Amino acid sequence: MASITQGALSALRRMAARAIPGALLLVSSTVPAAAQDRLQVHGFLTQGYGSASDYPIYGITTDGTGDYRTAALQGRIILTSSDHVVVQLSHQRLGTSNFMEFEDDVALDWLFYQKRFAGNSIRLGRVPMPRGLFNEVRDVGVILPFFRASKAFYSEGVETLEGATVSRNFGFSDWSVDATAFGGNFQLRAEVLDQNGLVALQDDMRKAWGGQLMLNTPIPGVRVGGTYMDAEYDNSEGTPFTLWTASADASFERTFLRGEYEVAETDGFTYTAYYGQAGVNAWKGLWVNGQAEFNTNSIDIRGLGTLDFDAIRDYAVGLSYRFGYNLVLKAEWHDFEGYQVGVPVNPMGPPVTNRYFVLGVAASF
Amino acid sequence: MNRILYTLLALVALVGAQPVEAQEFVVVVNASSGVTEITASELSKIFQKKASKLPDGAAAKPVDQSKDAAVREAFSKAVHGRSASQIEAYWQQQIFAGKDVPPDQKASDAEVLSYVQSTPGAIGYVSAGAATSAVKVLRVAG
Repeated sequence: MASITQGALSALRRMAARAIPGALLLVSSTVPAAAQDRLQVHGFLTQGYGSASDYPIYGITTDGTGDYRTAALQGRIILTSSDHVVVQLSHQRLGTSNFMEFEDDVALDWLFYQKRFAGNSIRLGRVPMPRGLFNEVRDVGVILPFFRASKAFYSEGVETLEGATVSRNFGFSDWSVDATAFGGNFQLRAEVLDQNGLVALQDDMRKAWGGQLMLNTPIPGVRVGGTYMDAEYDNSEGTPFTLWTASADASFERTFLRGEYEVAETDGFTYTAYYGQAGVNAWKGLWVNGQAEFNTNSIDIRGLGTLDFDAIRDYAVGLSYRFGYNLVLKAEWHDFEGYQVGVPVNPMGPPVTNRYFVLGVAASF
Repeated sequence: MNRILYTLLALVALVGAQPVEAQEFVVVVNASSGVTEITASELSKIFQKKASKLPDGAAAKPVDQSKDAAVREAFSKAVHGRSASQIEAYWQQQIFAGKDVPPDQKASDAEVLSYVQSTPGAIGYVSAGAATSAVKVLRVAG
């Protein structure tokens, strides 16, 4: 077994080095059938082309860019039925986004050991962090109605945790709760406005702990839940940071309606984000989707009071055509108003308006 | 505001509601199993890997049918209350959230029966007309 898993891991590393998007097409035919009982390989590609009307936004330029994608390759090594090791490598390009300075060509997304016992699942290592409906899958286009999960809500960072999660499903008649507790360190990313425009920051956070509860109702596809997290900045003061979310989701075969609300607070700063999404299956694989998302920031300026400004107001409509569960084409158009654009904007002045579109393809195996 | 919200939810539920198909499958376990009956809710949890044991406490080894099999569609709607494609979407989310991978899939009733016959703890489902003499057929309650 050891030689099988080592051989498969070597194959995985070689494929990742070649470039993950290409590997996605190769991998399903390169894993020997005999190894598939011990190694499961999955991957996804979310590729977009975007263009903005007046200002660069989220890395999308006014000239248009196809340098916009996330791809990942995941290997799950099955040691025993209750002991697994999971590794996921990813490649992300966000056009001209400031966050690209933190992205390697190939990054180690996750590497963790998973143990199941007595109905519990424990994951140790670099693990995906539960936060709302889509945090762990926010780049997986085949799951999402738009190119990516709500930018206002999920933003960047707060995605993986170096620590542990413990999960369990509790059933009560036709109701059940998916519960997860977690603890560890993570990275927080944010864009702040200065005289040169938006600047990307990345902070190390420590002593994070929290949990998520997701209540599944007797109506299949209807669930509500929330997340709470407490952490501190890895600085000499240990500046506190808290985050909570509330989520509601009603997903049926031909319609969905969902919304999420989030508040993150740290020293003198409050980040509030929320969004609503709806979609309907109009014909065969064709879906018509809509989304409204918002982000408001409150800054406590000592001695001067509180400055509130609406950084993001984004209305979007989109079409997606689903050829199956693992191949989707998308087209979406956004009407934006706010301050989070890729050029200097006076935060005391009026918000700017901007429009952008994204054409995308999403695939998985 | 509340009235608008309730109306919207009712509309979504109405459009999303699907008729439950007549039972066109039987649930089978290894002949050595002590289980004789199982509820749809227990089945749903086992096949979504939210429960890891059969009702008698034995470790469950669920085996699914291929994605496009008619019997899988019938099973998904009757047991999960969702279509097979919705269950596939559920597994995409589980896989890429790093939580779990779906049960093994077999290409036909015969392959499912062969696996269940030879694997203690195995649980699967096959078309109602399949020959099930070498395995135990469970009564599905609720």
